[in-house]
Amino acid sequence: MLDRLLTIDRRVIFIIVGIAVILPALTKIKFPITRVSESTQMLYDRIDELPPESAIMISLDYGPSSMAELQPQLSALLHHCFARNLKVIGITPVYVDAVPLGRAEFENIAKKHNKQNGVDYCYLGYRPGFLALVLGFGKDIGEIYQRDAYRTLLTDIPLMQQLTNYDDIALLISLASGATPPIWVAYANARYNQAVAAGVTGVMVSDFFPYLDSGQMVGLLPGLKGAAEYEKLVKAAGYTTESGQGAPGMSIQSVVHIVLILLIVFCNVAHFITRRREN
Amino acid sequence: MRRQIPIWICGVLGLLLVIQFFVPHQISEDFLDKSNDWFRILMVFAFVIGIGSLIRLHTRRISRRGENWRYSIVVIAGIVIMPLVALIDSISAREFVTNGMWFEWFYFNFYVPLDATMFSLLAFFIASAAYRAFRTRTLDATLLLLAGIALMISNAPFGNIFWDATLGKLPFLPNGFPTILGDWILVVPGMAAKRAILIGLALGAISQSLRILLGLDRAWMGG
Repeated sequence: MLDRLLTIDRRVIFIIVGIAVILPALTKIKFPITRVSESTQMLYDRIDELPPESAIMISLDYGPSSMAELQPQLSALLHHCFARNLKVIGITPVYVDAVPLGRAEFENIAKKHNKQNGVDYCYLGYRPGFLALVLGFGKDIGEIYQRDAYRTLLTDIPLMQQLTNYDDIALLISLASGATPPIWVAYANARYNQAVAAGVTGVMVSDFFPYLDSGQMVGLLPGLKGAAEYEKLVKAAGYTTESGQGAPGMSIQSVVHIVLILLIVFCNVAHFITRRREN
Repeated sequence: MRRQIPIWICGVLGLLLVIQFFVPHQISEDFLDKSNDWFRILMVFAFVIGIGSLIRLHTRRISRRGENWRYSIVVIAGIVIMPLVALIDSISAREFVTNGMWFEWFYFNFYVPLDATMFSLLAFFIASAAYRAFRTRTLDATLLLLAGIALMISNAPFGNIFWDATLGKLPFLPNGFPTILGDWILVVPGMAAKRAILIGLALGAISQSLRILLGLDRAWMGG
């Protein structure tokens, strides 16, 4: 019997995980965030300390496949930036398929804060050649992007008339599902002294703590957890009344984690009993 | 000759770009600008080659009824439909638009859910793999299992809620202990291991780059 449980059909596990995802989503079970990670707090504090009108560049280095984790991070960051009257520039230098995704979110959040495209924010979209773009921003953003994602000439955009290169960007945040944050660190930070932060998927987060510890990154959002923590901070400060997608996602993730832990414990007990019997 | 010229171009340009990094002269900066322009131009050609190669591979598979040829029809359909709807949008608007109604409808109703669903399947495979792999067979496996469970608890809000409602009430134990423990695992043992890996990778990348620049490694030319 125990042997059969140890070699259980994987489809049974799929069904259990499926139920663990669907049930809390339907019942809207809530596990509130009670503690904020240090790396999330660092990024929040950094943005909160910037003087109004400072420019922040957000690089959307992810596609729809990772949007479940990274789009809530983008929403929370935009709420914070717009509420604090910071200027935001959005780019998608890696994934061409992320352009409509970012553009829609910028429009959506900007509308809630009565912010105007071209004045308070600008969405530049995609250009090929990521490394050339990272280096090129050190000289002149206008040389890389002649038009924004709406095909408006950069010379006709009031916000972009005030920005030339990294010297005018107070903080660069890379929301990434791949290995782009180290490239921003290696070229934008090391070469042009640009302050860099990152928001990454949960599976990648351990890769970036050395950069945070060395001071090459000024903050790090760890996956959906980071998004939920940032939402909590932004809401607590009164920058928005909206609950984002991070916290509900984390509640579902909590249930899945409980189920997974129970499965692992159960499997190990069965394994232990079987081994003792064999001995 | 066909092999020697690319090796020389790669070696000379590579070394010049390395030197450029350390020389803050105007000539050096201009050289970097020109290199960046060329890099971006070459990237566009890479797109053309990539799309051409993809279409050729899948049309050949469909015509020969190769393995899983039906999936190739989906690939070709995707390659044709998305630019087609973008073209229809541009024709309707009488100018080149990138955020047309039809394109966005296809993007948000087909592409985004399909792409997100594919990645979400990972959760199911991880659960299945965890059930089979996380067993206390050896001391190493036990440590891995304990670290994994600690991180799973710390990464989900229920861990802190449960702790604070039970053991966290004891005066000598801190509140939010699962998050503290999770952060410690990531920042101390996790980061130590990661640093070692990063340093190893960097040294490997330097030696491999030198081999390529000096023409000792020619695998990048294919064959």
